[in-house]
Amino acid sequence: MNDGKSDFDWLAELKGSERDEVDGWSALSNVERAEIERFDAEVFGLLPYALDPVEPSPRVKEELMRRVAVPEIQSFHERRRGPVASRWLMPLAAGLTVVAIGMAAMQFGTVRRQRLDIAHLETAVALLSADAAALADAETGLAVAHQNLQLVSSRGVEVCALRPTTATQSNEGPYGLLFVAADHQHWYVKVAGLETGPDRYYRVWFETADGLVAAGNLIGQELEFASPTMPDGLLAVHVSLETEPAPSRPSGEIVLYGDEMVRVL
Amino acid sequence: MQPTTSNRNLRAAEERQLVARLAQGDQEALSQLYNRYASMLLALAIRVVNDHAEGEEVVQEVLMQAWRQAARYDPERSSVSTWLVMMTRSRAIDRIRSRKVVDRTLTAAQREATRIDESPEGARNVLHQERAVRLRDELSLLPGEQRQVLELAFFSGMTQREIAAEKDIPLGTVKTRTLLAMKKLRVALKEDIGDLL
Repeated sequence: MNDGKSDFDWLAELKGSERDEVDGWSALSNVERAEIERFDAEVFGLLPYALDPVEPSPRVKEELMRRVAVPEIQSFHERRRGPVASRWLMPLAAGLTVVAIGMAAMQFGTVRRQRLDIAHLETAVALLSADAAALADAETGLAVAHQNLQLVSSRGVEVCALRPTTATQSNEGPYGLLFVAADHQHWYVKVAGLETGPDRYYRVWFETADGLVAAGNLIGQELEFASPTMPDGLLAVHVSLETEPAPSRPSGEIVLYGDEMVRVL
Repeated sequence: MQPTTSNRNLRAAEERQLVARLAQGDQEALSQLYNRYASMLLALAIRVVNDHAEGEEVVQEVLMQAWRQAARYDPERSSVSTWLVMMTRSRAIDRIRSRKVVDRTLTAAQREATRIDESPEGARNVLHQERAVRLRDELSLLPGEQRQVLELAFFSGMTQREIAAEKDIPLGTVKTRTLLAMKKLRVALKEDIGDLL
């Protein structure tokens, strides 16, 4: 406070007896002062006892006891959902990204090879239709190729390839992968080749026996995202192109679809 | 009748044990702590925040804090009672600061302690009652200026500089009046403090 008084003018504000006591305080040692300060904390701690006690309403204690009882359940719950989910999500996403890259390369490479084999063998079947022996060999090779393709894209647990819904033999066009963690809760989608732009919303849908469940929109240039939840009994995955950001039902074209799960790990 | 030294030590040890049980997740210990202190802490909280419902929220938060942080309680630093009082004061002052209702609080802090609620439950606590009587007596014996700075500092959470500005007196005077008030209370309440430690 700057009122023009010198540092020691405040002494003049004290009454005579107050000033005497200040002189006594100044004579104390540091140890004595420390002890007194500890004591003073207790003096402060006693001041509320001068107030008339006010009994809280019963609900205060009820609510308090309820709150301390609930965390035991919540902590178990949090161990499963909260902290663990957050601990899992990033490593899971990172791990799945690595797996996705590897699997995408491996699976699409294999699928491409198998499709090329099928196309080649179908051509061979047509060309060699007159040659029964050659035809038998070609048919055997075709069956093996189909078998291999079925193996690569066979129903499994962890990975689901998302393919364009329009039939094509071309290797061009969009594709995607859905990765599902072993707990069937954590999942991750990565797609490529989808045209982006304003008013183009790619929405992911999980198909179960009860119908379609919206899983969210693909976001970002990479068109990838992850979520810690997944409905039980997943049958297929759809990606629809929407003109609205969050329709409750798919209203646009289904651009990617997958219903075949492949075990990765 | 003042409690004997052995009784005092026993009671202080019992309270420390209560907090130790709290740290182990003993809900019964929390219930006992609540029964002992809730009414006193609520009176303090109401005095600071000037609102009964908000005071109850403060008390509940403080006892939840005690529940969560019981393991951190250090009996060398303060008694259980003072530990709870300081947490209550701190939380209550945080609330009024966040509400920015300093003027309202000043008014509350400057008035004499008023009876807010007749509490049969609280009245049963003879120890608290006797302590309350002694406290009021001792506070009433303090010169008005000294009691005022003490109350503004404790119940309003005002710094000594803020008190000096509010009362238009030099900062040093505030410090000295606080010091003198504390010195008198220190002597007068020696038995009560010994009871807590």
